[in-house]
Amino acid sequence: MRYQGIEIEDTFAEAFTMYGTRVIVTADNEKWVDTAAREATGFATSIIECGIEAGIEKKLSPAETLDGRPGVSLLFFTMKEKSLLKEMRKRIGQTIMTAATTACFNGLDSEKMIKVGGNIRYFGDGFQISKLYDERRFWRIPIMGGEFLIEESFGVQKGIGGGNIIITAEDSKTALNAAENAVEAMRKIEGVVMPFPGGIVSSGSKVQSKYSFLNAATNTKYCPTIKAQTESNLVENVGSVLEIVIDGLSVEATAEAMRVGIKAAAVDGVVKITAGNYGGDLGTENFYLKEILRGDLDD
Amino acid sequence: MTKLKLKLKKENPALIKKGKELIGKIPVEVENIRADLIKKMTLAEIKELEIRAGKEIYQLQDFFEIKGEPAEVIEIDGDLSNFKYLGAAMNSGTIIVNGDIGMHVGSEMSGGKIEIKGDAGDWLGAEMTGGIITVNGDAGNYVGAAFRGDKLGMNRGLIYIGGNAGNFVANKMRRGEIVIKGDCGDMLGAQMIAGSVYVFGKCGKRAGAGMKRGTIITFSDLEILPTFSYNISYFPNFLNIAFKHLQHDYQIEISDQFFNSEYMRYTGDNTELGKGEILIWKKD
Repeated sequence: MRYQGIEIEDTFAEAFTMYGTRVIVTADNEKWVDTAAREATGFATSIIECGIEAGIEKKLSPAETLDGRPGVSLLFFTMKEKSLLKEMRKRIGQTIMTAATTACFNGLDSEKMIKVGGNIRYFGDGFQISKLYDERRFWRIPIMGGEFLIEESFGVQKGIGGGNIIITAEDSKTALNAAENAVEAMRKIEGVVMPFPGGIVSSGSKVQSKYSFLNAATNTKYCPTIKAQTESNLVENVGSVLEIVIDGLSVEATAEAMRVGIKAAAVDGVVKITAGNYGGDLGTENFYLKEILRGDLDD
Repeated sequence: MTKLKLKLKKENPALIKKGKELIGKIPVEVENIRADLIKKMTLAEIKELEIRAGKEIYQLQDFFEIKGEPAEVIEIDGDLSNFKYLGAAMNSGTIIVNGDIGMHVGSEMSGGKIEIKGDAGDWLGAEMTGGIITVNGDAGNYVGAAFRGDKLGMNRGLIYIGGNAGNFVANKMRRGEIVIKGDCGDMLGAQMIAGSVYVFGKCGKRAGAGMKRGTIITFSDLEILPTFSYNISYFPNFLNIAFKHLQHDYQIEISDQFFNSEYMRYTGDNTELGKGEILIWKKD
């Protein structure tokens, strides 16, 4: 298969069911919105070592937020619904509540709710105040900076983790350029985040290792510097490979992000665009590139 | 929209006359006029609805000209200032009163909407647990309060008063919101337990007396009890959400100057739990 002359491998991305929530963070100005967002979604790249995956979905203007201040929408994902509350409590408590002037609101309508603010309120040491507006409860927690406002409950829904595309290119400059194009296009899609630094994975992994104490190791089949030393998926002229992992609140959003990402990544110097899977036995959702790009592929 | 229309008869059993001169009115209890009940009844049943005036039992048709059909919207014309318990315990539907109304309107109601185009009497929305009451004119004492001997006043819902309100507004209020566009009397939020009261006019004496928790927000100077403590002047972010909510959910006008503005925060009553708060808007 080809798109704009670039080879697209006829394969699929193997993804998993995750549980996701959307958090709206506001602050007095964009500087502190950005700071809080960056801290909250930092070190949340892979569930394997971070316990949670997170990313910035989009920026919000004052007109779009509940308190009329600049804001940002963040998505968080865990493998188990139960662990989402625990991880969110840590993330919000340590990175958003501690960031100057911030407030934190639910951004996801859902039947299932987790009481994140309802847990964090105890930080108020008995001086926290509850306010109920139109069946939405907020907690005003006295803090050294003034008052931290957080909504009691946040919506949770089943989502997708591990949607991905892999870009193989002639050199690292081309691979990075293609991957950056892809991330830029994907960021326009609502309901998805790319949890790795800058949205790009430079060191993708396989879920096995020669060492018994390691669950995952470098994805040897896609490492260009050892392609002559090991079984490799890379052809001779591939000099660099970058992956983009996508977590989405829905199958549709994840597929759309993959579609626009692949299209944006198809630039000169890209050798092949493919996707990662484990043979289809581990995941709960397979995203076939052929189907995702139906109608877009070259004749 | 289907509607049941009631018009108070000029001659009705509640009028006390000496010769041709009207010298008084007997209180009439109309707790049966509830939108949630009437929508399920036939017109014949509605006409015979029991109404108590003094020690006598009458029918609805003795007091009102009845038009329209059974519906969850009831519109009533006339001076009902001697009518009590309108919409009490109602849980859905709408009642519109084109005139004044007496005591206990919407008391213990749990849902629906009551609109009073004139003034309302005492105990408006007392112990209500949901729904909306709006009064274009003034309201009496004990708005959203607890009945004597009871522990909890209003517990959810919203009361909006376009004019002034009397004494003991929000007495023992547990939850919900009361918005008063005009002035209110003494003992605002006395023994308040939680919830929010907004007073855009002036407040009388001893606001917040015995208050445990809850928030009183005022936009003019207030005589603070000595049992309250001044904490800070700050910009409470939650008020931006509260004001937006009042604007969007209830179409209540809130001036832009009150958003992102500075408020003085007093807490008390220190003779009680001391976790109530009075926020006073700090005019630039």
